[in-house]
Amino acid sequence: MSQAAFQRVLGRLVTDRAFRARVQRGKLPAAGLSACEQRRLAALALAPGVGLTARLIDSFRLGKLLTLLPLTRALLGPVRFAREAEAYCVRTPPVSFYLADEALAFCDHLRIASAGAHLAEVVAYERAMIELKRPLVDGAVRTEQRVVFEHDPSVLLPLLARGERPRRVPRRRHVAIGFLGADGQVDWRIKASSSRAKPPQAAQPRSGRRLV
Amino acid sequence: MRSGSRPAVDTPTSVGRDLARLPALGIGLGYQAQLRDYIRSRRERFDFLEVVPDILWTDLGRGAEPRYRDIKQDVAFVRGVTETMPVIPHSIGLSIGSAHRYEYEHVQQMSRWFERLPFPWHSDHLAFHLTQGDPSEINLNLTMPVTFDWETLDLVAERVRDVQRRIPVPFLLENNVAYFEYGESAFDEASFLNALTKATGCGLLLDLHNLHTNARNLGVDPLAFLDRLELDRVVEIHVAGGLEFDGFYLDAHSGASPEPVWLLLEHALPRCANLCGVVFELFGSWFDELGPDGLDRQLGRMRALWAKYRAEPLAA
Repeated sequence: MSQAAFQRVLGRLVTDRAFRARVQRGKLPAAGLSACEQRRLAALALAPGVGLTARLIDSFRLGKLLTLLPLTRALLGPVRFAREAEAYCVRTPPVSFYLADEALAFCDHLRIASAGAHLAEVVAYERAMIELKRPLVDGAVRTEQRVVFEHDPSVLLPLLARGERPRRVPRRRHVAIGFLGADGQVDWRIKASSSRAKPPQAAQPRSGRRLV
Repeated sequence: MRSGSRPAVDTPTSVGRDLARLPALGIGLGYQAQLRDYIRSRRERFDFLEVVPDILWTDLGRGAEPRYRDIKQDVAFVRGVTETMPVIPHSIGLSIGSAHRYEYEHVQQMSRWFERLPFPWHSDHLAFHLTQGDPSEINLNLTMPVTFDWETLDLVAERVRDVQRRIPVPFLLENNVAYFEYGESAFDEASFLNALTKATGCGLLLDLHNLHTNARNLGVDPLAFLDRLELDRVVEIHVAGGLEFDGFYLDAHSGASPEPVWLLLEHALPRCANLCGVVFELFGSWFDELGPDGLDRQLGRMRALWAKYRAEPLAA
């Protein structure tokens, strides 16, 4: 299976910048590779077209994230979003062509690796939207999605949807319950708590609303 | 062939090899969701629609049952189109050149698709996008070029035969775009494709924009490539546009075809005896820039060349 080893190393050359740099310095892991394959890979590590291919892969992945996470992108701004996406790509090799898989993994990355005003609640909301819309395997039951907001989502989310950075969003805990309607659209029921310290059942629910 | 030869690999059996009996469809357009209004309103501009079937379903991954779930809106649209014109599938999911495995479940899915919406031929890319990884398999999200050597020829030929056994219409492989080359190859690309078609009887999807891109970036001589290639195996041609980026020319499907691609099309059209269609590819996100009238002009120019060089098949 020499060829499988060759493709595995080539795959790392175009998805793992640090690895490519090591190979460029002559540190090619030779296990399982024929002499010809080792020569090919050593040359490829230096080839500008391999660097370009790596950038194309990253841009394709970034495009998927931008498509499914427009509010997170609006919140972070294009520069920080791209930086976070780059950090994510470095840590997480691509595993799927599909948008939802990539976006969910990026949400998980942001949840663990990043912080900032509104970030947790906005990422949780967009993650829930993706989970609600993605197809299920047979036998799986689609569960409702619960998102806790520390700021009023009826102010926060429309601002982001217009591409505006949120400022002075009222701080008040809300719990949003999302479910997939028969028409394939996601609907949300929102409950605002009367106090940040109390559980979110005190305020009047607003049901059936699409938040943005 | 660049270097030593050996006895030919298995000769083709009988499934789906008779390219001469395929219908000549004419001018095709690659489906993108952003083109739906255009497809609805300007159907007279093209004769068939080509669809990447992988975008009509969601792949839930190996082991999921069922693995592939239809995206209802897209499937309904394409099904509607089949009532007025042929729809040809052009897959990206096989990863037929991956050494560790290829997506046989994709073949099974295409077989189911054939039962639902029969097609006269189908195609994928001579490439790989799946590799082993740590801890899990990697999907590179890009069609990577295969090495042109005997090991790859044996590997891909066996898989082509798998596809042919499973789906009883001709299967085509597309010449890939590449931004780098492998050294010490046993074949040049055209010779490799010739050996593959000889071994399996498969057809070719000749992507002239890929060829042009490889000419720009790698110095491939496109006319020499076409002169070496056995053009009677070509069933379908792709044309598209690209863009300059950081010292490279990208196969971006981003607009009008550049003039060298039209020249290659004029060169190829009279020489491809079994050609059935020429398809224009455009990524949907670029449609606003090209515009419906710009797309009309691309398809109109393709039709004029088709009429000039392929009048008889069209009349039939």
